Amino acid sequence: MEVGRLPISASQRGKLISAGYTTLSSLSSLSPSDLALDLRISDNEAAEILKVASLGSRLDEPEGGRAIVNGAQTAWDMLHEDEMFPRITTSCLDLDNILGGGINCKEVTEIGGVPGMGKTQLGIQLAVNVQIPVDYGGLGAKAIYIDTEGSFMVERVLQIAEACIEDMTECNGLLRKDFQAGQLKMHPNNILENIFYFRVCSYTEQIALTNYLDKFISEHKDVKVVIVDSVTFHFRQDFDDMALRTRLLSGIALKLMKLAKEHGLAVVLLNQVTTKYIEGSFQLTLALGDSWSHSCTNRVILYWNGNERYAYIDKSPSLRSASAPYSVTSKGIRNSASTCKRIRMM
Amino acid sequence: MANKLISEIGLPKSIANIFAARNIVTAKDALSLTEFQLMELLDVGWAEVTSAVAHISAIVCPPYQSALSLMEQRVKNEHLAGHLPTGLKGLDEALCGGIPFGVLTELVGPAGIGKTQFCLKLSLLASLPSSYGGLDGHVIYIDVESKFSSRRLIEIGAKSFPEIFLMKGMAKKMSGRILVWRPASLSEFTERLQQIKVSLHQNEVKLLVIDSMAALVSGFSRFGSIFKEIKSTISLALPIVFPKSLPLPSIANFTDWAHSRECEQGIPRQHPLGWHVSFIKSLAEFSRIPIVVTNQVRSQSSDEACQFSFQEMEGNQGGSCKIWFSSCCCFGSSLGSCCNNPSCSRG
Repeated sequence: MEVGRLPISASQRGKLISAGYTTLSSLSSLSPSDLALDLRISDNEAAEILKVASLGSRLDEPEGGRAIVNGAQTAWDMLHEDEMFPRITTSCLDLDNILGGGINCKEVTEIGGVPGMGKTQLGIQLAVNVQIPVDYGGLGAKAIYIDTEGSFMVERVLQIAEACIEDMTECNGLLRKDFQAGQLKMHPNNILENIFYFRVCSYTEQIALTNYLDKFISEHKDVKVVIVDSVTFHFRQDFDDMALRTRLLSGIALKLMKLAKEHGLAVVLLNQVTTKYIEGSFQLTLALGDSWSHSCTNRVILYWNGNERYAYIDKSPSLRSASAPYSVTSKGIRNSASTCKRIRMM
Repeated sequence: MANKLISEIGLPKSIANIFAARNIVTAKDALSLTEFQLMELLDVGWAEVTSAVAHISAIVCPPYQSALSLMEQRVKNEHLAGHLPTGLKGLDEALCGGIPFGVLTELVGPAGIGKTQFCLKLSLLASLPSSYGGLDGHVIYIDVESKFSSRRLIEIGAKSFPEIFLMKGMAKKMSGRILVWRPASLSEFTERLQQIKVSLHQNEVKLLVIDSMAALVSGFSRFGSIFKEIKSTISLALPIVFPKSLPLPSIANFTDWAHSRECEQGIPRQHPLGWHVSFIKSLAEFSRIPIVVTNQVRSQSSDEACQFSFQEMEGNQGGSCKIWFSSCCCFGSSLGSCCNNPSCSRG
């Protein structure tokens, strides 16, 4: 029933149906006062309903003039838009390669792995790398870091920021570019200043924050990455009602996807790992269940291969499945070198 | 913040009344429903629901800070920007100053490596006056396995800081700041934790040590309580008589046996200490003190999960990955920072 699709309250819908208005076309030629009289509601309410109904019917028109569907883009336009948005580098060349250049803006990327893999390190590295100036191939933007576990170490951010600036200065020296701007004037404190840190202590706060982000980002338009570390934590303990959990998580996922699309920013969700009984054996899999697996656009799994850290693209609409080694050093995430191995418990 | 009452949030009167009428009292209740569910329940339009939810979210949402102001705050207000130096130069450097405040630090290692000794030293360091690099505060030491030895503590103090400890009355003062508590059961531990939260501020507690977390799980199982009895009997140097009918293994591998019996019952859905770890973490953050817990190392049987599904397809490139897991392995992700004893050896 067409009237059933309108975003109006249940009692208004009930009144419309009992008065005999079931299709949108039946509402199209009515005036607000007539409708008000029929349904026994106020004129304002009737005007609201008619406004909503007319919006609904416009979407269904087969020939609407300029656009077939409101708000759609052609694939060609999208391709050009993609080229305009640079990707956020991870500072590890191999990892950037399998990601197609880096973390993509306008998409939600989920990164998961066992404890100790370097998920928080990767999150911090991205929060720093998004601030690389446009002249050096970065986005020159700010970052939002949402911490649910309390694993954000400010000293580490400082270390990674200093290393990033060092790399940029080195690059400056090597290329001998004569920018009018001259020397790199960034200081690690500038980088720290541009990371907005939220500490979330319960799942209610997490939902509230996800709702609030839209407003926050409209006020801080230069934020280009939102990192949630980790999205799982508050949903894993003490959650008896699994159906509720699935609903809440899908709500969060949808809002984050909308955020990414509307504001053109990258959303990075860090996830934990759990064991699952598949095909007769226990295997590791990312937490939060099967329904959550559908919520993210891209999925990267970090795992140990022997003594090296590897990243694997598990799911992506445009990237092929591939693995790449990376390492966590004092400077942050870098390319894997043969000496950077896991400390053996020997 | 999650339990903030809707009535205190400052929504327009009309919608606040509707929330109350439908028994949605706290922000948590309201945010646990999707916008569509709220529309159905409250019988209001889309615009009203979204604006109410946005209002509630803006109030309940945690405040933000820039990472810079976070750092400056800690440098200004806390001892060494929020670290307790351990006195081990390499470790302090690696930890950017020492054991960090506000997070949970886990000491893991096989038996006999020195975890309890480390905890004793840390307790001492926290009780020292600030002129000697300490935190000048009280310490709560939760001793699950009855391993705390005050004689050893005084010995450590006298040897490491002779200038203070040999001064009159100082040994008494320093060790007087360390409160040792031995929980008899998991429920007692749970209860006491909540009391500790209240008393942290009042008593100027600067460090909390839990030795050990693994024992809380295995030690308090129905077999573990028997073991504790035996252990305390041993310390009294009384002879122990085993009745012939009781098929008890030798004391040495009792804990393993008890643990293996637990595992036979199937892998539990949620870890029994899940709530406790979250609570302790929040305790650490809220009071900005370091909390140190110790954990044991067990070997993992090779048929347990240690791979992702795509790894099996790729073939075992790195050979079978033998991972040393502690009994509380699922805490690894929930612990703020993990401290691996650098001189760990295969025992």
